[in-house]
Amino acid sequence: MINVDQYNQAVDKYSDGLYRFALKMTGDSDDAKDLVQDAFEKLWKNRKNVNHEKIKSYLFTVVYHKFIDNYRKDNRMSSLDDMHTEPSYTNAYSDVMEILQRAVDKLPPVQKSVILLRDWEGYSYKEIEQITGLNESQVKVYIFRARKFLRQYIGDPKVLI
Amino acid sequence: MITRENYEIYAIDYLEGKLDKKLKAEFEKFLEANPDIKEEITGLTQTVLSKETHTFPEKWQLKKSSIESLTYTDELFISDVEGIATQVQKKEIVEITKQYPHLRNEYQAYQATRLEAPTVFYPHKDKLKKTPVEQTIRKVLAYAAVIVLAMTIFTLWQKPDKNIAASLSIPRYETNLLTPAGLTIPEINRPVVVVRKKQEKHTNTTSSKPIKQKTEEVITNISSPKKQQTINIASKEFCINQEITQDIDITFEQNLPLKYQNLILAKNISSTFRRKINKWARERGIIVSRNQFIIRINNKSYGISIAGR
Repeated sequence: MINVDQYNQAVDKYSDGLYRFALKMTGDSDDAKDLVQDAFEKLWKNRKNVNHEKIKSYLFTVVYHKFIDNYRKDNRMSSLDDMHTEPSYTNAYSDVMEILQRAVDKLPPVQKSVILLRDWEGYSYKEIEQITGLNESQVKVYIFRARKFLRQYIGDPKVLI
Repeated sequence: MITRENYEIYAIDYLEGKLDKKLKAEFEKFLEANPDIKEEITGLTQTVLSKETHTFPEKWQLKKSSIESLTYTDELFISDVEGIATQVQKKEIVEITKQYPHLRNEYQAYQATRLEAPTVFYPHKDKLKKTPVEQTIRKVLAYAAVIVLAMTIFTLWQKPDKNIAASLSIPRYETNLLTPAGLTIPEINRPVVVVRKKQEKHTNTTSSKPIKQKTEEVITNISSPKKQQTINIASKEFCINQEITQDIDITFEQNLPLKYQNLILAKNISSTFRRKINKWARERGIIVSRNQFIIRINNKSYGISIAGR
Protein backbone atom coordinates (compact mmCIF):
# COMPACT_ATOMS: atom_id res chain seq x y z
CA MET A 1 0.00 0.00 0.00
CA ILE A 2 1.38 3.38 -1.03
CA ASN A 3 0.06 6.73 0.15
CA VAL A 4 0.27 10.06 -1.66
CA ASP A 5 3.46 11.12 0.12
CA GLN A 6 5.25 7.91 -0.68
CA TYR A 7 4.10 8.15 -4.28
CA ASN A 8 5.32 11.74 -4.63
CA GLN A 9 8.62 10.85 -2.99
CA ALA A 10 8.98 8.06 -5.53
CA VAL A 11 8.48 10.61 -8.31
CA ASP A 12 11.32 12.74 -6.89
CA LYS A 13 13.56 9.77 -6.24
CA TYR A 14 13.10 7.50 -9.22
CA SER A 15 11.72 9.44 -12.19
CA ASP A 16 15.20 10.64 -13.29
CA GLY A 17 16.72 7.15 -13.27
CA LEU A 18 13.66 5.71 -14.90
CA TYR A 19 13.73 8.39 -17.58
CA ARG A 20 17.46 7.82 -18.16
CA PHE A 21 16.82 4.10 -18.58
CA ALA A 22 13.83 4.63 -20.86
CA LEU A 23 15.71 7.22 -22.90
CA LYS A 24 18.62 4.87 -23.46
CA MET A 25 16.33 2.01 -24.37
CA THR A 26 14.11 3.93 -26.79
CA GLY A 27 16.50 6.58 -28.05
CA ASP A 28 13.56 9.00 -28.19
CA SER A 29 12.70 11.52 -25.49
CA ASP A 30 8.96 11.54 -26.18
CA ASP A 31 8.73 7.76 -26.10
CA ALA A 32 10.81 7.76 -22.93
CA LYS A 33 8.52 10.31 -21.28
CA ASP A 34 5.50 8.23 -22.24
CA LEU A 35 7.06 5.14 -20.68
CA VAL A 36 7.83 6.99 -17.45
CA GLN A 37 4.35 8.48 -17.32
CA ASP A 38 2.73 5.10 -17.97
CA ALA A 39 4.83 3.52 -15.24
CA PHE A 40 3.82 6.09 -12.64
CA GLU A 41 0.18 5.96 -13.73
CA LYS A 42 0.23 2.20 -13.31
CA LEU A 43 1.91 2.55 -9.94
CA TRP A 44 -0.80 4.96 -8.83
CA LYS A 45 -3.60 2.72 -10.06
CA ASN A 46 -2.10 -0.29 -8.29
CA ARG A 47 -0.92 1.60 -5.22
CA LYS A 48 -3.04 -0.60 -2.96
CA ASN A 49 -1.18 -3.70 -4.11
CA VAL A 50 2.40 -2.40 -4.29
CA ASN A 51 4.77 -2.59 -1.33
CA HIS A 52 6.40 0.82 -0.88
CA GLU A 53 9.80 -0.88 -0.54
CA LYS A 54 9.39 -2.34 -4.01
CA ILE A 55 8.40 0.85 -5.79
CA LYS A 56 11.64 1.25 -7.72
CA SER A 57 11.74 -2.28 -9.08
CA TYR A 58 8.00 -2.06 -9.82
CA LEU A 59 8.60 1.04 -11.95
CA PHE A 60 11.52 -0.49 -13.79
CA THR A 61 9.52 -3.67 -14.36
CA VAL A 62 6.70 -1.69 -15.96
CA VAL A 63 9.04 0.35 -18.16
CA TYR A 64 11.01 -2.74 -19.23
CA HIS A 65 7.96 -4.78 -20.21
CA LYS A 66 6.25 -1.86 -21.87
CA PHE A 67 9.38 -1.20 -23.90
CA ILE A 68 9.71 -4.85 -24.91
CA ASP A 69 6.03 -4.95 -25.94
CA ASN A 70 6.45 -1.82 -28.06
CA TYR A 71 9.66 -3.17 -29.55
CA ARG A 72 7.97 -6.42 -30.52
CA LYS A 73 5.14 -4.49 -32.19
CA ASP A 74 7.51 -2.23 -34.10
CA ASN A 75 10.06 -4.90 -35.02
CA ARG A 76 8.04 -8.00 -35.78
CA MET A 77 10.73 -9.44 -38.02
CA SER A 78 13.72 -9.10 -35.73
CA SER A 79 14.47 -10.99 -32.57
CA LEU A 80 15.13 -9.39 -29.20
CA ASP A 81 18.55 -11.06 -29.31
CA ASP A 82 19.59 -9.74 -32.69
CA MET A 83 22.78 -7.71 -32.76
CA HIS A 84 22.40 -4.42 -34.56
CA THR A 85 25.86 -4.55 -35.98
CA GLU A 86 29.17 -6.34 -35.82
CA PRO A 87 31.64 -5.02 -33.29
CA SER A 88 33.88 -2.29 -34.60
CA TYR A 89 37.58 -2.14 -33.98
CA THR A 90 38.25 1.26 -35.47
CA ASN A 91 37.64 3.48 -32.51
CA ALA A 92 41.05 5.02 -32.09
CA TYR A 93 41.35 8.55 -30.79
CA SER A 94 37.89 8.75 -29.24
CA ASP A 95 36.78 8.97 -25.66
CA VAL A 96 36.19 5.53 -24.21
CA MET A 97 32.90 6.48 -22.53
CA GLU A 98 31.60 7.94 -25.75
CA ILE A 99 32.48 4.75 -27.59
CA LEU A 100 30.90 2.68 -24.86
CA GLN A 101 27.68 4.65 -25.16
CA ARG A 102 27.64 4.01 -28.90
CA ALA A 103 28.38 0.35 -28.28
CA VAL A 104 25.51 0.05 -25.80
CA ASP A 105 23.12 1.43 -28.42
CA LYS A 106 24.08 -1.42 -30.68
CA LEU A 107 23.29 -4.13 -28.15
CA PRO A 108 20.14 -6.19 -28.59
CA PRO A 109 17.31 -4.88 -26.36
CA VAL A 110 17.45 -7.54 -23.66
CA GLN A 111 21.23 -7.36 -23.29
CA LYS A 112 21.03 -3.61 -23.22
CA SER A 113 18.37 -3.67 -20.52
CA VAL A 114 20.19 -6.04 -18.23
CA ILE A 115 23.54 -4.30 -18.46
CA LEU A 116 21.95 -0.89 -17.85
CA LEU A 117 20.08 -2.23 -14.86
CA ARG A 118 23.32 -3.76 -13.62
CA ASP A 119 25.71 -0.84 -14.14
CA TRP A 120 23.45 2.18 -13.90
CA GLU A 121 21.04 1.04 -11.24
CA GLY A 122 23.32 -1.41 -9.44
CA TYR A 123 20.76 -4.20 -9.39
CA SER A 124 21.83 -7.72 -8.43
CA TYR A 125 21.26 -10.65 -10.76
CA LYS A 126 18.33 -11.69 -8.58
CA GLU A 127 16.71 -8.26 -8.79
CA ILE A 128 17.22 -8.13 -12.56
CA GLU A 129 15.64 -11.56 -12.74
CA GLN A 130 12.55 -10.19 -10.98
CA ILE A 131 12.36 -7.10 -13.18
CA THR A 132 12.86 -8.81 -16.52
CA GLY A 133 11.27 -12.17 -15.84
CA LEU A 134 14.42 -13.93 -17.07
CA ASN A 135 16.01 -16.57 -14.85
CA GLU A 136 19.23 -15.80 -12.99
CA SER A 137 21.52 -17.77 -15.29
CA GLN A 138 19.96 -16.09 -18.33
CA VAL A 139 20.64 -12.73 -16.73
CA LYS A 140 24.26 -13.71 -16.17
CA VAL A 141 24.68 -14.96 -19.74
CA TYR A 142 23.15 -11.78 -21.20
CA ILE A 143 25.41 -9.58 -19.09
CA PHE A 144 28.55 -11.56 -19.93
CA ARG A 145 27.75 -11.49 -23.63
CA ALA A 146 27.03 -7.81 -23.49
CA ARG A 147 30.39 -7.15 -21.84
CA LYS A 148 32.12 -9.28 -24.43
CA PHE A 149 30.49 -7.18 -27.15
CA LEU A 150 31.42 -3.91 -25.44
CA ARG A 151 34.97 -5.07 -24.98
CA GLN A 152 35.26 -5.94 -28.65
CA TYR A 153 33.66 -2.67 -29.64
CA ILE A 154 36.07 -0.48 -27.74
CA GLY A 155 39.04 -2.31 -29.26
CA ASP A 156 42.37 -1.55 -27.64
CA PRO A 157 41.76 0.81 -24.73
CA LYS A 158 45.38 1.99 -24.91
CA VAL A 159 44.73 3.83 -28.14
CA LEU A 160 41.76 5.63 -26.65
CA ILE A 161 42.26 9.11 -25.36
CA MET B 1 52.46 -57.73 22.19
CA ILE B 2 55.14 -57.37 19.51
CA THR B 3 57.55 -60.29 19.31
CA ARG B 4 60.21 -61.47 16.93
CA GLU B 5 57.57 -63.81 15.45
CA ASN B 6 54.93 -61.20 14.64
CA TYR B 7 56.89 -57.94 14.25
CA GLU B 8 56.54 -58.01 10.42
CA ILE B 9 52.83 -57.38 10.71
CA TYR B 10 53.56 -54.06 12.38
CA ALA B 11 56.67 -53.22 10.34
CA ILE B 12 54.87 -52.12 7.14
CA ASP B 13 52.37 -49.97 9.01
CA TYR B 14 55.23 -48.45 10.97
CA LEU B 15 57.08 -47.58 7.79
CA GLU B 16 53.93 -46.04 6.25
CA GLY B 17 53.23 -44.11 9.46
CA LYS B 18 49.91 -45.88 10.02
CA LEU B 19 50.52 -47.15 13.54
CA ASP B 20 48.76 -45.35 16.33
CA LYS B 21 50.79 -43.69 19.04
CA LYS B 22 50.66 -46.60 21.49
CA LEU B 23 51.68 -49.23 18.94
CA LYS B 24 54.32 -46.96 17.45
CA ALA B 25 55.91 -46.47 20.88
CA GLU B 26 55.75 -50.20 21.55
CA PHE B 27 57.26 -51.00 18.14
CA GLU B 28 60.12 -48.56 18.66
CA LYS B 29 60.77 -50.10 22.10
CA PHE B 30 60.86 -53.48 20.42
CA LEU B 31 63.39 -52.20 17.83
CA GLU B 32 65.61 -50.87 20.58
CA ALA B 33 65.58 -54.29 22.20
CA ASN B 34 66.32 -56.01 18.89
CA PRO B 35 69.15 -54.13 17.07
CA ASP B 36 69.30 -56.62 14.18
CA ILE B 37 65.64 -56.04 13.37
CA LYS B 38 66.12 -52.30 13.76
CA GLU B 39 68.85 -52.42 11.12
CA GLU B 40 66.60 -54.41 8.84
CA ILE B 41 63.72 -51.91 9.21
CA THR B 42 66.06 -48.94 8.61
CA GLY B 43 67.13 -50.52 5.36
CA LEU B 44 63.52 -50.86 4.30
CA THR B 45 62.80 -47.18 4.88
CA GLN B 46 65.25 -46.30 2.14
CA THR B 47 63.11 -48.21 -0.38
CA VAL B 48 59.99 -46.02 0.22
CA LEU B 49 59.60 -43.47 -2.60
CA SER B 50 59.10 -39.93 -1.48
CA LYS B 51 56.22 -37.90 -3.08
CA GLU B 52 57.41 -35.31 -5.55
CA THR B 53 55.57 -32.03 -6.06
CA HIS B 54 54.79 -31.24 -9.67
CA THR B 55 52.37 -28.50 -10.74
CA PHE B 56 50.83 -28.48 -14.18
CA PRO B 57 51.49 -25.04 -15.60
CA GLU B 58 48.67 -22.77 -16.87
CA LYS B 59 45.75 -24.99 -16.06
CA TRP B 60 43.50 -22.08 -17.09
CA GLN B 61 44.45 -22.77 -20.68
CA LEU B 62 42.68 -26.12 -20.47
CA LYS B 63 39.56 -24.77 -18.83
CA LYS B 64 36.38 -24.02 -20.72
CA SER B 65 33.95 -21.17 -20.25
CA SER B 66 30.49 -22.00 -18.96
CA ILE B 67 29.09 -19.47 -21.44
CA GLU B 68 29.01 -20.25 -25.10
CA SER B 69 31.04 -17.92 -27.34
CA LEU B 70 33.26 -16.81 -24.44
CA THR B 71 36.74 -18.06 -23.65
CA TYR B 72 37.70 -19.03 -20.12
CA THR B 73 39.76 -15.87 -19.68
CA ASP B 74 36.81 -13.79 -20.94
CA GLU B 75 34.61 -15.35 -18.29
CA LEU B 76 37.33 -14.91 -15.68
CA PHE B 77 37.85 -11.23 -16.42
CA ILE B 78 34.14 -10.46 -16.69
CA SER B 79 33.51 -12.24 -13.39
CA ASP B 80 36.01 -9.86 -11.85
CA VAL B 81 34.26 -6.84 -13.41
CA GLU B 82 30.97 -8.19 -12.11
CA GLY B 83 32.42 -8.70 -8.64
CA ILE B 84 31.56 -12.38 -8.57
CA ALA B 85 35.04 -13.90 -9.04
CA THR B 86 35.99 -16.52 -6.43
CA GLN B 87 39.31 -16.50 -4.54
CA VAL B 88 40.67 -19.21 -6.85
CA GLN B 89 39.67 -17.18 -9.90
CA LYS B 90 41.27 -14.05 -8.44
CA LYS B 91 44.55 -15.98 -7.97
CA GLU B 92 44.33 -17.15 -11.56
CA ILE B 93 43.80 -13.59 -12.76
CA VAL B 94 46.87 -12.44 -10.88
CA GLU B 95 49.00 -15.24 -12.39
CA ILE B 96 47.67 -14.73 -15.89
CA THR B 97 48.04 -10.98 -15.96
CA LYS B 98 51.54 -11.31 -14.47
CA GLN B 99 52.78 -13.75 -17.07
CA TYR B 100 51.01 -12.56 -20.20
CA PRO B 101 51.05 -8.84 -21.06
CA HIS B 102 48.46 -9.20 -23.85
CA LEU B 103 46.03 -10.79 -21.37
CA ARG B 104 46.77 -7.98 -18.94
CA ASN B 105 45.57 -5.56 -21.64
CA GLU B 106 42.50 -7.73 -22.15
CA TYR B 107 41.77 -7.59 -18.45
CA GLN B 108 42.10 -3.81 -18.44
CA ALA B 109 39.82 -3.54 -21.46
CA TYR B 110 37.15 -5.51 -19.64
CA GLN B 111 37.52 -3.26 -16.63
CA ALA B 112 36.69 -0.36 -18.95
CA THR B 113 33.32 -1.85 -19.92
CA ARG B 114 31.70 -0.70 -16.69
CA LEU B 115 29.06 1.82 -17.69
CA GLU B 116 28.82 5.10 -15.88
CA ALA B 117 25.33 6.47 -15.49
CA PRO B 118 24.90 9.91 -17.04
CA THR B 119 22.95 12.53 -15.15
CA VAL B 120 19.50 12.90 -16.65
CA PHE B 121 16.54 14.81 -15.26
CA TYR B 122 12.95 13.92 -15.94
CA PRO B 123 11.37 17.22 -16.99
CA HIS B 124 7.74 16.80 -15.87
CA LYS B 125 7.90 15.58 -12.31
CA ASP B 126 5.18 17.97 -11.15
CA LYS B 127 2.73 16.52 -13.63
CA LEU B 128 3.29 13.07 -12.19
CA LYS B 129 2.68 14.09 -8.62
CA LYS B 130 -0.68 13.75 -6.92
CA THR B 131 -2.28 16.07 -4.40
CA PRO B 132 -4.97 15.18 -1.87
CA VAL B 133 -7.26 17.83 -3.45
CA GLU B 134 -6.86 16.25 -6.83
CA GLN B 135 -7.79 12.91 -5.33
CA THR B 136 -10.97 14.40 -3.87
CA ILE B 137 -11.92 16.02 -7.16
CA ARG B 138 -11.37 12.77 -8.99
CA LYS B 139 -13.58 10.96 -6.52
CA VAL B 140 -16.35 13.58 -6.81
CA LEU B 141 -16.18 13.45 -10.61
CA ALA B 142 -16.33 9.68 -10.53
CA TYR B 143 -19.41 9.72 -8.29
CA ALA B 144 -21.04 12.42 -10.45
CA ALA B 145 -20.43 10.35 -13.57
CA VAL B 146 -22.06 7.34 -11.95
CA ILE B 147 -25.09 9.41 -10.90
CA VAL B 148 -25.51 10.90 -14.38
CA LEU B 149 -25.25 7.46 -15.93
CA ALA B 150 -27.81 6.07 -13.51
CA MET B 151 -30.20 8.95 -14.24
CA THR B 152 -29.82 8.49 -17.98
CA ILE B 153 -30.58 4.81 -17.71
CA PHE B 154 -33.55 5.54 -15.44
CA THR B 155 -34.91 8.14 -17.89
CA LEU B 156 -34.62 5.78 -20.83
CA TRP B 157 -36.26 3.06 -18.79
CA GLN B 158 -39.22 5.32 -18.02
CA LYS B 159 -39.89 6.15 -21.71
CA PRO B 160 -42.81 4.40 -23.43
CA ASP B 161 -41.68 1.42 -25.43
CA LYS B 162 -42.98 2.99 -28.61
CA ASN B 163 -40.76 6.03 -28.28
CA ILE B 164 -37.71 3.97 -27.42
CA ALA B 165 -38.37 1.76 -30.40
CA ALA B 166 -38.80 4.81 -32.58
CA SER B 167 -35.61 6.40 -31.29
CA LEU B 168 -33.68 3.23 -32.06
CA SER B 169 -35.18 2.64 -35.51
CA ILE B 170 -33.14 3.34 -38.60
CA PRO B 171 -34.95 5.33 -41.29
CA ARG B 172 -34.64 3.65 -44.65
CA TYR B 173 -33.43 6.81 -46.43
CA GLU B 174 -30.88 7.69 -43.82
CA THR B 175 -28.08 5.99 -45.72
CA ASN B 176 -28.35 8.73 -48.31
CA LEU B 177 -27.35 11.40 -45.86
CA LEU B 178 -24.29 13.45 -46.57
CA THR B 179 -22.00 12.12 -43.92
CA PRO B 180 -18.91 14.07 -42.87
CA ALA B 181 -15.81 11.96 -43.47
CA GLY B 182 -14.91 9.65 -40.61
CA LEU B 183 -17.85 10.69 -38.45
CA THR B 184 -20.20 7.95 -37.30
CA ILE B 185 -22.91 8.23 -34.72
CA PRO B 186 -24.21 5.21 -32.81
CA GLU B 187 -27.82 4.45 -33.55
CA ILE B 188 -28.86 5.00 -29.95
CA ASN B 189 -27.69 8.62 -30.09
CA ARG B 190 -30.12 9.73 -32.73
CA PRO B 191 -32.12 12.76 -31.67
CA VAL B 192 -35.85 12.37 -31.33
CA VAL B 193 -38.27 15.23 -31.83
CA VAL B 194 -41.85 14.88 -30.70
CA VAL B 195 -44.40 17.16 -32.30
CA ARG B 196 -47.63 17.91 -30.59
CA LYS B 197 -50.12 19.26 -33.02
CA LYS B 198 -52.33 22.11 -32.01
CA GLN B 199 -55.86 21.06 -32.99
CA GLU B 200 -59.00 22.99 -33.54
CA LYS B 201 -62.19 21.76 -32.05
CA HIS B 202 -63.95 21.76 -35.40
CA THR B 203 -62.15 19.41 -37.69
CA ASN B 204 -65.09 18.22 -39.74
CA THR B 205 -64.50 20.79 -42.44
CA THR B 206 -62.06 18.62 -44.25
CA SER B 207 -62.65 17.76 -47.83
CA SER B 208 -65.03 14.96 -48.63
CA LYS B 209 -63.03 13.92 -51.68
CA PRO B 210 -61.80 10.32 -51.83
CA ILE B 211 -58.41 10.06 -50.31
CA LYS B 212 -55.43 7.83 -50.83
CA GLN B 213 -54.11 5.61 -48.09
CA LYS B 214 -51.18 7.80 -47.12
CA THR B 215 -53.27 10.91 -46.99
CA GLU B 216 -55.89 9.16 -44.96
CA GLU B 217 -53.43 8.39 -42.29
CA VAL B 218 -52.29 11.98 -42.09
CA ILE B 219 -55.80 13.26 -41.89
CA THR B 220 -56.68 10.72 -39.26
CA ASN B 221 -53.84 11.92 -37.17
CA ILE B 222 -54.77 15.53 -37.71
CA SER B 223 -58.37 15.01 -36.82
CA SER B 224 -57.60 13.27 -33.58
CA PRO B 225 -56.57 15.85 -30.96
CA LYS B 226 -55.21 13.22 -28.56
CA LYS B 227 -52.83 11.57 -31.01
CA GLN B 228 -49.28 12.65 -31.35
CA GLN B 229 -46.92 12.27 -34.23
CA THR B 230 -43.32 11.44 -33.72
CA ILE B 231 -40.82 13.14 -35.95
CA ASN B 232 -37.27 11.99 -35.94
CA ILE B 233 -34.56 14.37 -36.93
CA ALA B 234 -31.39 12.56 -37.71
CA SER B 235 -28.27 14.64 -37.84
CA LYS B 236 -24.70 13.51 -38.10
CA GLU B 237 -23.70 16.50 -36.05
CA PHE B 238 -25.79 15.52 -33.04
CA CYS B 239 -24.01 13.43 -30.50
CA ILE B 240 -26.59 13.41 -27.75
CA ASN B 241 -30.20 12.42 -27.40
CA GLN B 242 -32.22 15.53 -28.09
CA GLU B 243 -35.94 15.71 -27.69
CA ILE B 244 -37.78 18.78 -28.96
CA THR B 245 -41.50 19.26 -28.53
CA GLN B 246 -43.14 21.71 -30.88
CA ASP B 247 -46.77 22.74 -31.27
CA ILE B 248 -47.78 23.30 -34.86
CA ASP B 249 -50.99 25.00 -35.95
CA ILE B 250 -52.56 23.07 -38.82
CA THR B 251 -55.78 25.08 -39.13
CA PHE B 252 -54.68 26.55 -42.42
CA GLU B 253 -53.83 23.21 -43.99
CA GLN B 254 -57.13 21.72 -43.11
CA ASN B 255 -58.92 24.25 -45.27
CA LEU B 256 -56.87 23.43 -48.33
CA PRO B 257 -57.73 20.90 -50.98
CA LEU B 258 -56.60 17.49 -49.87
CA LYS B 259 -53.86 17.10 -52.47
CA TYR B 260 -52.09 20.21 -51.11
CA GLN B 261 -52.56 19.50 -47.44
CA ASN B 262 -49.67 17.15 -47.14
CA LEU B 263 -47.18 19.37 -48.92
CA ILE B 264 -48.15 22.53 -47.08
CA LEU B 265 -48.16 20.71 -43.77
CA ALA B 266 -44.69 19.46 -44.57
CA LYS B 267 -43.45 22.95 -45.36
CA ASN B 268 -45.00 24.24 -42.15
CA ILE B 269 -43.34 21.57 -40.08
CA SER B 270 -40.09 22.01 -41.95
CA SER B 271 -39.85 25.76 -41.41
CA THR B 272 -40.89 25.44 -37.78
CA PHE B 273 -38.29 22.82 -37.11
CA ARG B 274 -35.59 24.56 -39.03
CA ARG B 275 -35.94 27.52 -36.72
CA LYS B 276 -35.96 25.23 -33.75
CA ILE B 277 -32.94 23.29 -34.97
CA ASN B 278 -31.02 26.42 -35.86
CA LYS B 279 -31.65 27.77 -32.39
CA TRP B 280 -30.61 24.45 -30.87
CA ALA B 281 -27.44 24.36 -32.92
CA ARG B 282 -26.60 28.01 -32.27
CA GLU B 283 -26.78 27.45 -28.54
CA ARG B 284 -24.25 24.64 -28.87
CA GLY B 285 -22.01 26.28 -31.39
CA ILE B 286 -22.78 23.65 -34.01
CA ILE B 287 -23.10 24.54 -37.68
CA VAL B 288 -25.78 22.51 -39.39
CA SER B 289 -26.97 22.42 -42.94
CA ARG B 290 -30.44 21.46 -43.95
CA ASN B 291 -29.10 18.52 -45.91
CA GLN B 292 -28.11 16.97 -42.64
CA PHE B 293 -31.71 16.50 -41.49
CA ILE B 294 -34.50 14.21 -42.34
CA ILE B 295 -37.87 14.74 -40.78
CA ARG B 296 -40.01 11.67 -40.51
CA ILE B 297 -43.58 11.19 -39.39
CA ASN B 298 -44.55 7.82 -38.02
CA ASN B 299 -41.68 6.16 -39.79
CA LYS B 300 -43.00 7.22 -43.21
CA SER B 301 -41.80 10.10 -45.31
CA TYR B 302 -45.04 11.35 -46.89
CA GLY B 303 -43.09 13.91 -48.80
CA ILE B 304 -41.97 15.62 -45.61
CA SER B 305 -38.45 14.79 -46.57
CA ILE B 306 -38.91 16.86 -49.69
CA ALA B 307 -39.86 19.79 -47.56
CA GLY B 308 -37.00 19.02 -45.22
CA ARG B 309 -34.54 19.49 -48.00
